[in-house]
Amino acid sequence: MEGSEIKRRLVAILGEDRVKDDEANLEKYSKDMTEAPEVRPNFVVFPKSTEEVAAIVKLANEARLPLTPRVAGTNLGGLTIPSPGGCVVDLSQMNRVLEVNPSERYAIIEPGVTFEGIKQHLDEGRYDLVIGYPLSPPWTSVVANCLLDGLGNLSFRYGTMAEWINGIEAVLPTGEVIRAGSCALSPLWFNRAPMPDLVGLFVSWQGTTGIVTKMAVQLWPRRAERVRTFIMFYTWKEAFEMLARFARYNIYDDIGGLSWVTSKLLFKIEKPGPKDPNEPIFFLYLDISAEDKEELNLKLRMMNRELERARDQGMQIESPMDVKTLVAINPDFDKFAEFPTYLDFLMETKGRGLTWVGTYGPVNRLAEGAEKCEKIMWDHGFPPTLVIRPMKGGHYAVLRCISIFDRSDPADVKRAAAVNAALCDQVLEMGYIPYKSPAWAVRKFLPRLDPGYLRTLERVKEMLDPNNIMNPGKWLLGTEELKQALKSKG
Amino acid sequence: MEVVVDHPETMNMLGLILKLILEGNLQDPDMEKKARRARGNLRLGAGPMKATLIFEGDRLVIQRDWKVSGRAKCAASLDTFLGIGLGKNPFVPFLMGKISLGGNLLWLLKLMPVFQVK
Repeated sequence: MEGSEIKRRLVAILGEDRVKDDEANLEKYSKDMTEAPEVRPNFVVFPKSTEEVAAIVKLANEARLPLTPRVAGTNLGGLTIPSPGGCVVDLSQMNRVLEVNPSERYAIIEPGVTFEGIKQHLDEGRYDLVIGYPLSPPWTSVVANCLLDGLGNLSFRYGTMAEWINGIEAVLPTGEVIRAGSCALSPLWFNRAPMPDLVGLFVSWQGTTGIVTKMAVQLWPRRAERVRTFIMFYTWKEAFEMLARFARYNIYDDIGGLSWVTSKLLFKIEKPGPKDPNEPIFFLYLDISAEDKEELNLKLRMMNRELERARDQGMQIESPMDVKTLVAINPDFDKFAEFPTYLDFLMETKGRGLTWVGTYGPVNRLAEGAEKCEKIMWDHGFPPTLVIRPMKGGHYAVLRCISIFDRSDPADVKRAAAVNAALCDQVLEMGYIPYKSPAWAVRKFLPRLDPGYLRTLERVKEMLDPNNIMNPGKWLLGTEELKQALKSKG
Repeated sequence: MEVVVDHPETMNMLGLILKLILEGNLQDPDMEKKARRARGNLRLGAGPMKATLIFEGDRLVIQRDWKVSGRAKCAASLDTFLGIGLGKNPFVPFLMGKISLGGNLLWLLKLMPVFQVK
């Protein structure tokens, strides 16, 4: 189908205003913050309803037009970089909170609802409920972060945000609409069990199996008391030993930590050099909430008791510091006081390049992982910005290595790609698995993937998306490369 | 009066905290006058981290570690030091033996408000 005819048909579905093919828009949607190469789409469209999304998908099948769903594009995996000549489906105008169910504690939202948006809705509606927030900008899509197995500040308790999904409505790659979860049977979107879990067909598939148009996401009670406290450590080993000990207690909402580089960035040192061997290497933070002061004090006593025990065993640990104290010292620490937050020191840098290798993996290899990743980052000239947290009660952990680079400097872009490749090799070796995986990372772990798993992925993709129009190439799905890899696995 | 961090990229957190506090405090003309008149090196320690304030008249240089001799010294654990930095009275922790002071104490006492958050 000719481009002009595709445009005419898109305009017929959405109207002139919500179909863009001007240079400025195509340029804006051709890239993200990462080192991923830019790819120019032919169209950017802005649907407002499930029906409009379904009509776009049906047209895309007819025209063999690749579609890339997108909201904020903050995934750091190049996952919203379109296919050449394709169409970006910008879902930001589907931004309604359709329902908040206070008794079953969930909200039904559209994909354009941001973390800032849902917070405002819950606050203004005086709901006694909260959602967890990631360390990403307030304009990040809640639905996208859930679907990409992202995490938030309640992930120590409740696991990845995908685990917070109660149900979805989605447009399949053929244009049919499906509901999955309890909403397939009940008027309430209260859970995914006890039915075959088709929600999984959309989680971590990176938009290759359809476009989610509604989602029920779990909410949790708002607690009256809340404390965020930071503890500084001087060695990785002691930091992660304590992280594992704290994770044993079921009293924290969140446990996580940031390497020393973050504190330097907060003091506006853009390229910190080697660390003073006498300064802390890791800032562990503990979030504690409670119904009242009594509960809070009890939890704080338990935390302090564990710290005392560790000091008695010879560990060098500083006293916990309330985030308010840190804000009093440096007002920029308020970026860690309230969520959602905008970490400008990561994003508003020269050339505005930001990339990472973010992984899930074993808690007991964090110290070794941090040490090895730190070395790799230094070897490539990047100060080691590491973000680490145990997940879901300490069953597994997150290890993220973040690099800031200058997107306008080709040499720096190359360096960012090289450090990511080296980090990926290292973490895979240690049993960590990249999440929000870009195609280059999938390429790296392809030889390690179970052949049965890979074959099933490919079959599911072919069955759902016979014309391969949904975000082709992500997770290498629908590519000749994947088919060849399958052949070589026999 | 200019506050200069010697090698900011390798400066420790103590030095960076001091810079922030000093820059804020030296906006106050009285404080600025006090710092401008001072001459000598003040050694500060917070936990294992060390920094030296070098009073040079028009400039106040923050240097990592204790590389130069000091006219006075004030060292404590990180949380005690930050407590003082945040305006707590230093006498109680001093009497409890939580602060190690040395050198010209009169000079140190005169300068203490310069590195306490106002």
